[in-house]
Amino acid sequence: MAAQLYRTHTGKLFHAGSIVIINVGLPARGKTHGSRSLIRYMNWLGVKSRSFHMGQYRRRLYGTDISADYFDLGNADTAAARTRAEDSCIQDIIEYLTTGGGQLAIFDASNLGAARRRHIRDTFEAHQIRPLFIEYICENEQIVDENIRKVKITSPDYITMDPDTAVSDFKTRIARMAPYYETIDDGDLSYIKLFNVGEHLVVNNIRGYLQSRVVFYMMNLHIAERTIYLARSGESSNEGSYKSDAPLSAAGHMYAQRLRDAVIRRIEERNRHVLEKTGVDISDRTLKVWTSTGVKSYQTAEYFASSGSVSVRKRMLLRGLNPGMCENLTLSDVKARFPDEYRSYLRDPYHHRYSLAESYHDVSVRLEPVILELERERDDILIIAPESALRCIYAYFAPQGLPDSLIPTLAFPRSIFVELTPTAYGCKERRIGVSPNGR
Amino acid sequence: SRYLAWLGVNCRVFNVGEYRRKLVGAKLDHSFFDPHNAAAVDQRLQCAVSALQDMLRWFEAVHSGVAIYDATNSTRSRRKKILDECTRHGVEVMFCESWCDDSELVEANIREVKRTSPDYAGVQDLASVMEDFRRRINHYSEVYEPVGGDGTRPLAKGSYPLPPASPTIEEYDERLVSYVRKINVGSQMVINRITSYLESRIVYFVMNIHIAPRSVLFSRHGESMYNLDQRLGGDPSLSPNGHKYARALPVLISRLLGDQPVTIWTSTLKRTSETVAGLPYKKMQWKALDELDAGLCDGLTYEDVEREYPEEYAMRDENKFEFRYRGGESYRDVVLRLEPVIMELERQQNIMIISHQAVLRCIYAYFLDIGPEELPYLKIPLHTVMKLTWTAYGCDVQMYKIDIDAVDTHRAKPKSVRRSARKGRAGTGSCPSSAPSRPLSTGTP
Repeated sequence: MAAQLYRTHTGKLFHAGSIVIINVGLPARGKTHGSRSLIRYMNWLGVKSRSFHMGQYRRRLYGTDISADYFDLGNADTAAARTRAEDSCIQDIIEYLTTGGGQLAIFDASNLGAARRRHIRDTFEAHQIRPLFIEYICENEQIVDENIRKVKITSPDYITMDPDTAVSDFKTRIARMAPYYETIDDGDLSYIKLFNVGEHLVVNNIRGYLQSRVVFYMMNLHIAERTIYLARSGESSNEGSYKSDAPLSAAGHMYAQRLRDAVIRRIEERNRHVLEKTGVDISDRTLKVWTSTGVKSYQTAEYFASSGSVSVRKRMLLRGLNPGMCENLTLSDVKARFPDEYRSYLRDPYHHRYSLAESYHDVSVRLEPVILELERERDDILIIAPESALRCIYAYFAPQGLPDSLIPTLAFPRSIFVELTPTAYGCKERRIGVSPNGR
Repeated sequence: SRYLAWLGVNCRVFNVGEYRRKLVGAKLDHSFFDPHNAAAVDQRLQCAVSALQDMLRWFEAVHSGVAIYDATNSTRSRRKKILDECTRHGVEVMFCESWCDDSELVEANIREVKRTSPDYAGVQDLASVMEDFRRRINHYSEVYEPVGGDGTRPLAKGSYPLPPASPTIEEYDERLVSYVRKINVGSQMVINRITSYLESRIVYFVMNIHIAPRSVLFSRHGESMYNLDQRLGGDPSLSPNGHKYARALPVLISRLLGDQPVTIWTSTLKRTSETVAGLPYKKMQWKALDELDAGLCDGLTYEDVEREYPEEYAMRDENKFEFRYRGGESYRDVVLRLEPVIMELERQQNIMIISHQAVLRCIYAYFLDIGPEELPYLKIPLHTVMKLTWTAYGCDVQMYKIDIDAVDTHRAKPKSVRRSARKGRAGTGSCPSSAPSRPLSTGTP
């Protein structure tokens, strides 16, 4: 599944125009996690997107030390303050989508009242922005409690409080808002109702390609924790050539062995750690290895096939970037022989396509099914692929704000492999050494 | 099933109506479907069970795949029976419900589709067909229980109870079952407990298809300079005849489509955009529509390939669908990368695609349900526009040849394939004979 590969004259993709996603739901329902994940996916596809979090606007205008009355939605005195904060956020969104170059924005607030929602919808539509509501409903008290513990009490609002006080304070906040919560009931609106993090969805009036992609993505989202490892394929006997699809060199074989040892060692270390901390034995969890169909990649992966609870899967989509006319040329060769192409490449390294070659954007687009399956997976996954494919996969999990132009230069030397643990508020990253003697 | 099969998933449809037609014939009036007609109810159950048993036998034979059990399945007890049988045989179940309460839509459907159904073949009087069919629908409505209830979802408090191990019909809770409900042809959808990537892909597909009438047109680029030489790949311009074709296209297209709008999709290679230069419609380029990459053989003529890579040349003829050029692609690879194009095609209205021989073979095979053995040998001649129109029971294609000379680039499958005992270049090409990489995994291999 892939993004369309053209830009219209407005600089936007898909001819889809601008879209604002308006979150609806009580606190601790996973709105922010869902929003950040969606933004990450959209940006990676090439759709310029940003999330606008109401809490931040509130803190900026009024600080963190505000009276609990602010969250009492029946309180008329604080209503003006709340509206001012929301309107400020909405104005920023409109600016981002009209003149700021953005195509998709998320208005991450509770938006509990139906009348106010219709007003917000009208405001956006007046600027030719298409609204899509996503309502996060959680019927499972356990999930809500876990959210509060994991996420809310580390927010700036509670950083100075002790955890138990923070939890009860937060629950009070929710309880005060609950009576004003009107679930979406308007068949004219475009909306997605998400129940229990993707267990059940109701989708209404979804128009357009981009909106249906949002629905597809939300279907695949979950909040279980698992780890993703990224490792480079071993060195081949003909490194400069893509077309020759050469097998591993002797050094490549040695690397593959050391990689296998290093990864297994790391997994055992983590299993021990989890056992100590929580008493749970996860040593029988499967590690899934995904590798490319290129010879050097699956030869590297073969070293894992003999280990017990490991399964290896070859995927054509994980192949490296096809260099086309730059086959067997170094960057300085290209600069010397094709100076125009080189200049064009420098202007936009991520999107530039040499003759008969792929661009990094093409590779990202090609990798989308892999990314979506990665999102769905609850098992740990190790990806063994050429550096160009790893760059695009890493870029998906990288912190917001990594510019496209840096992606072609990200380094994945064979001296390390990367461990990524996506969490609600970001992705934890570690680089772990692959060497003859361990760390 | 066409979509899944095209992506390489084993797929089979088991249509209970077909079983009924075989058992009791086609010319039945609506009273056969009356739930109070005890004898008929028995026969209908027999058909349902027979189809179910065939389906389970099919699963045992293929080990992994997707079966579509196509029937009305309107009652909870019927659905529970299916679910129990499948679970007993280790088969996962997902229900796909189509719900329509827009009476205009229903009328239009009855008119268009059922008029051509085998059940009414030869019946001339349209009014009586419509009336009989409406009565048939009423019989079903009497006993219809939508999946998971009436569509409203009561908000449960607390955590979900574990499902009882073998529920009775009273305990059978469809909120715990995988299902998707499409309402009024897509204005609303309900998606429940989708558990695997394959299921989510199926749901995405179901979300994107529509039944509004529209046309899809295909053509190859005009004859190119490389075509004249029988040369593979590259990025050549059009030959003089190719340019003539480009000039002749606008008249043909406006004849085929009249005033209707159409969007044109081309590849990023020159020869396709040169072909559409004279067309006044909206145009978009897709890299996914670029020709199959011949890797090391790019730019060579077929004679060159036979001379320099004899091993490759012979291997390709042995299994043209799976064969992957060294450093290039196979037909299977092209199918994989075309999936987004196909999905977008399903969503769109009128589209015209200008692309290349191998790519068009794959797209054509998708719409006409053609398998991998035949696909690489499909005839897609130059200077010909193909128009697809849909009916509910299939897809029609019409060919419009423009009378401008072009070389024939079609190579038939050889009668016998000779492989020389002498090995060519070490490890040239690749023709995996065991379990090629599949785009979708349907569980354990």
